[in-house]
Amino acid sequence: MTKDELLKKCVDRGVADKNVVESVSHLLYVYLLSALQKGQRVEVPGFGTFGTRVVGVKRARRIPFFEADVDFSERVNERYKSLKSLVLGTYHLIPAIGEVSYKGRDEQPEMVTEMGGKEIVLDTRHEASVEEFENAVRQVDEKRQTKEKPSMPQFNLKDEATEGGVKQRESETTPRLREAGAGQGGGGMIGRILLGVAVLALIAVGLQYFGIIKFWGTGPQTGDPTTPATETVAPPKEEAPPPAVVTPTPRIETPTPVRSQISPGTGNFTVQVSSWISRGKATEEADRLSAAGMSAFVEEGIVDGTARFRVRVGRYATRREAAENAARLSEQLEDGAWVTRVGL
Amino acid sequence: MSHDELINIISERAGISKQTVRDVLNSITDVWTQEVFARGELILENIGEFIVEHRPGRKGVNTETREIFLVPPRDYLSFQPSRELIEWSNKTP
Repeated sequence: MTKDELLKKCVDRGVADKNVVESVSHLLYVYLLSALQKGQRVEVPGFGTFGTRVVGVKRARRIPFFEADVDFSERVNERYKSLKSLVLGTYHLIPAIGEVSYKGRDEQPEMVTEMGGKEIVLDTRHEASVEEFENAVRQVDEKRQTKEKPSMPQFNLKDEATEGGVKQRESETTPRLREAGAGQGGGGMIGRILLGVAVLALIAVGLQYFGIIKFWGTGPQTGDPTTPATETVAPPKEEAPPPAVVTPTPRIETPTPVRSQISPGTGNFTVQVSSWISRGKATEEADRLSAAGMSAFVEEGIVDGTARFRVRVGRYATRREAAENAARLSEQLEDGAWVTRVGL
Repeated sequence: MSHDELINIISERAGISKQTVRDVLNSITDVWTQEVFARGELILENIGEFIVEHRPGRKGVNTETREIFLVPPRDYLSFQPSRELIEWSNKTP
């Protein structure tokens, strides 16, 4: 139908004279073109919107487009208006295995997934007819009315899919997501408070560790060498008279000056149980062991310039004796025990 | 350019009252839409072709939610701008 015939139809409606209709339609075309030249949009109600969009970078150019009005496009689509997109189900995909395979240029793509040990082939380019859609929608509607769970309509899937694999998991997943979202929203404030407390605790521990401010403990850790000194010096003195044969530990003083609390006993060999960076942990461990009836003590050593507090049990004159006891201890303890020399 | 602006400009330029311009524009668009419904296509000279096209239904897969669903078929109005319109819109005003 030509432009003149369209205009004649307008005139036949009897809205206005022929000249008026012609001039209005002419001006409509003129302003439409001039607006598109300026890159503007032109709204024509009941029909749609004209506009331009820029395409390309080097050879940028305007391409006119047209968007139909919502009512108009709905009326165009009136035949399929009642059809809605229908969820058939969900597929479970094992990530390492699932792949989309294109077997040939003209063949349809197939998504090969492993699902309960079965292979499922879905052709994603299937063209569904109107009858199939109506049947599927009707099935779901009937089952909703009878208040049953809508099972999957068999629609171009292989039988294995409908029997075993495809699970309707949407109803399960969505509430979880909602819960997760709510939890995040509510937990923000508590999280911040906990973070602040943790930072304060770290600062306090740091100050205590470096001895700047004393928050707990009897004395500064780096400070008093006097009290342990007496302890360390005392045992050798006691030991010296009775066993003249066994030499008391002379090497203690060189690596660890004064602080180790060596258990009163004789023998150069001992059994080491564990080693700690902090003295408190080591003494705790030693107390635990001595409460269990072992003669445990803590000895300080230096490894690569840092102090290590070693928890050791007993003193033995010979290596064999120590090894027997170590074997017995390692059965009782989780981390095992091994033989060392006192002062090493 | 909105509908009212278009009516104002045309009525000023042609010296016709706004109400008649509005009525005439409505009748023009009504004739166009009726043409689309009747024939399935509308060809406007120097502007382009409006053709009702059919997009078949298909099966879709949402890879995020792992859903398999049917997308219904659909009729839609496609617009193919004419060569003149593309040349016009690329001329500097």
